Amino acid sequence: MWTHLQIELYKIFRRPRTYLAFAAITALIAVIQVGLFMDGKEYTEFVMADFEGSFSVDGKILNGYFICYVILQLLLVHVPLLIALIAADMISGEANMGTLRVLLTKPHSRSAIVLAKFMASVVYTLLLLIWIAVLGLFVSMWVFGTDDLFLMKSSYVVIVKESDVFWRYAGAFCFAALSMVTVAALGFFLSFFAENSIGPIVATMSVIIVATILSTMNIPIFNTIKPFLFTTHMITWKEFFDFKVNDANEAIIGSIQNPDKIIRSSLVLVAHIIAFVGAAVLVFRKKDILS
Amino acid sequence: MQDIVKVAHLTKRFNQLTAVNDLSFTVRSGDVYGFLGQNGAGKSTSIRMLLTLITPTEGDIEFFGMSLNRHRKEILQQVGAVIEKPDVYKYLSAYDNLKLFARLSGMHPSRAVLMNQLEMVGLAGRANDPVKTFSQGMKQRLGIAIALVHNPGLIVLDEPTNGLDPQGIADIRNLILFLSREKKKTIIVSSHLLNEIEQIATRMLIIDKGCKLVEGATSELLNSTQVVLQLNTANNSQTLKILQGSSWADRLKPMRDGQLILGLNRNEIPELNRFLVGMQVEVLLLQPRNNLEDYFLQITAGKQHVDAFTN
Amino acid sequence: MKQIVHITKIACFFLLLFIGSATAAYAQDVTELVMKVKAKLDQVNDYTATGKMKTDVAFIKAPVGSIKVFYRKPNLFRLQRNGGISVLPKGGVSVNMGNMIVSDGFTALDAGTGMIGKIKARIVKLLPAGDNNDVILSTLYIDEANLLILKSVTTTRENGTYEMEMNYGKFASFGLPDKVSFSFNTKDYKLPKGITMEFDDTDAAVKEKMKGKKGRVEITYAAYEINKGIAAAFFK
Repeated sequence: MWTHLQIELYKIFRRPRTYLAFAAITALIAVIQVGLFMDGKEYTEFVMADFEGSFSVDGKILNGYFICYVILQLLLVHVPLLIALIAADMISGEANMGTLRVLLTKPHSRSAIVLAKFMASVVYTLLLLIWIAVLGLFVSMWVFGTDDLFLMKSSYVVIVKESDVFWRYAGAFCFAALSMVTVAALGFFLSFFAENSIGPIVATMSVIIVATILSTMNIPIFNTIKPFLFTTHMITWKEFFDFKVNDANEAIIGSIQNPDKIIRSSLVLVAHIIAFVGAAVLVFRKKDILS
Repeated sequence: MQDIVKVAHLTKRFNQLTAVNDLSFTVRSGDVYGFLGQNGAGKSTSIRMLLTLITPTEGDIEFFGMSLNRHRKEILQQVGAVIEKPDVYKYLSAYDNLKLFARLSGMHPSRAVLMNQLEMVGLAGRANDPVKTFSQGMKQRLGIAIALVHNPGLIVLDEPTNGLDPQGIADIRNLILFLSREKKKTIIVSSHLLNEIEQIATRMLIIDKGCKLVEGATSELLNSTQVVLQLNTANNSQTLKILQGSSWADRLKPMRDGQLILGLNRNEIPELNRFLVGMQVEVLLLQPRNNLEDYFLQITAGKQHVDAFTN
Repeated sequence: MKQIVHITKIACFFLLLFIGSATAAYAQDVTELVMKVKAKLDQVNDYTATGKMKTDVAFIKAPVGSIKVFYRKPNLFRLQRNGGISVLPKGGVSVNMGNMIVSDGFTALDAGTGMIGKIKARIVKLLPAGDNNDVILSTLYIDEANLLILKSVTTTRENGTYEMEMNYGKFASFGLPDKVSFSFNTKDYKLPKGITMEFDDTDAAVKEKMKGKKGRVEITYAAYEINKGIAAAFFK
């Protein structure tokens, strides 16, 4: 299994396509950082237009922590495409190249191959997120400095104390990793049903887009299925940036407003991952390789 | 001689289509076993079943006396295969591909060993070039090197000369003979080209529409005195009428490509020639044919086979 | 100072005309009271104070932040956060005492007495002189015995009405509070979802709780350094 995982990773990281994703992320983050560096004031003014009618906010809002939040908010919507690019290609790409049949004539069980391939997509996904963390968080912290994190929620404002922020990012990135692994699992599962990578990549994105629309639309008929859609839970990373207050409305440092929400979302996502990968194993064990 | 592969009543159905029907055959140690059939005859499906890529609907497969179902891993450890196109990772070099597949087979060969393998298939000079720059023949030879990298006792080659130029075909043929004679490998090689199999196979199996037609030693099967004769004359339709009105009428087969085809005994050829000359027919070509279609004509009286191939 | 007294006198003169002599006598009293309070505050030429500031608005969740406050007579004031981000009601928080009294001039009216906690306080209404002042009316609750302002309610043209409550301790002799609570009215706010990019699934109960109309900024001072001298340029 370990050897197999190494080989899969070797294959992933010898392909130019892999670095395309890292380059895309670098470019996207750089664009956001440069934009906010040049015109950040306008951006914050725009975001806070309504709020600033009655309050004046004093302090360095445009700090590294805030930038990273903006980056995550904008980027995590698009990262699934970059993940699908690799995960949805894991089986279909090999089927297309014809290497799948060579692979399967080697003395390994199909389940082991599937799991090694999935683990490789997970490692890729995690490296992608680490890269986002390095650029989005650490570079932003270095360039913009750090301060309290000022966030506008849809119906309230949260200011997270500087010393209370970093661990929340650690949690948020872990959660984002779980969401993205779910995307990887979906793409991976779909890659079993095609002999070219375009189909599963497009299918993965379509599923995500449709599910996101269902998660966003506030229509009663959809509301019943919302809790079961993984897209509803993918943005739960934001819960790390909301804390409890005491009776005097003072922030309780180190607390999370809805820890149960994070746990519930994590469970839903884990269930999706297990379902996708489990189904992939089941399908693949019996699948006739005709490519 | 030890039985290396033993297949009994192998059947594969895809929905309504029966791709392989009750196929049984045996490959013995040291064989270069020709697996012959037209495109779509069920060769690839059969070979894929041997390599566990396709699950049989019915039937048993044994390798080295072990059931493939129960001993898949041990069996595949001793089998090397190239299935249809030689498929490798195009973005990797020949050397890296070979190393990768060696590791997949649980081997950690040294650079010298790997270079040796590439040397054997004539690719040592291009070891570090990306495969995407290789010709089809070079890819095929790399495919064979990959199939050999874990030193298997049995090698399965599915249509190894497909898409190759004459030189490439000759290279592969020589490589197969080398592996069989020098390396003492047992080889199963499938093809739709009879002359190719004829030159390398010690034993052969011919299938059609998923069914076994014949199995046996190549020399015995091909050394039949029956031949299919191709006849081309100055006026073929005139000649046809002459033949139809003669004692040769029952030897006539349907015309193909405007040429006359006859099935007859090898020693009857001079007699036919004398008859034609006597009838003042200008003979342009009189030649025994040696391809699979004609071989089918020989071994099957049934006209339907001819139709199947000519359509 | 003279000018203020002068203006006050003029104002008092007009008040006399309207409200009658008895009231005028009280007004004279409360003006004196205010002047006494002011005199007490005038001991302080400048101060630097450190403390904690808390913003308590129902729909703002904020941590308590450290601040440093600088003041120089007559009305230079600067609030410096020790890092962090603070949210203050628009128009700023006037948390220095002097501000309420040392304006260009005022008219003081006695409005009786009231209780602030357990302390009986004299209620004084101050009407600033002149039209171009943002403050329309200030109501001060003054502890007459200790000459301390316990509470003030200020109505402004631009920024609505806000309230301040002062608690005194160690620095009461300088008229400087240990704790200042600044209350103001808040408006609800709602962002379009597109900006936050989240599915608004905040519980209805939580939302309801967040609809409080009153906001507060609380500053608790830990220490003052009084009359150590701060250059005026520092406030620029």
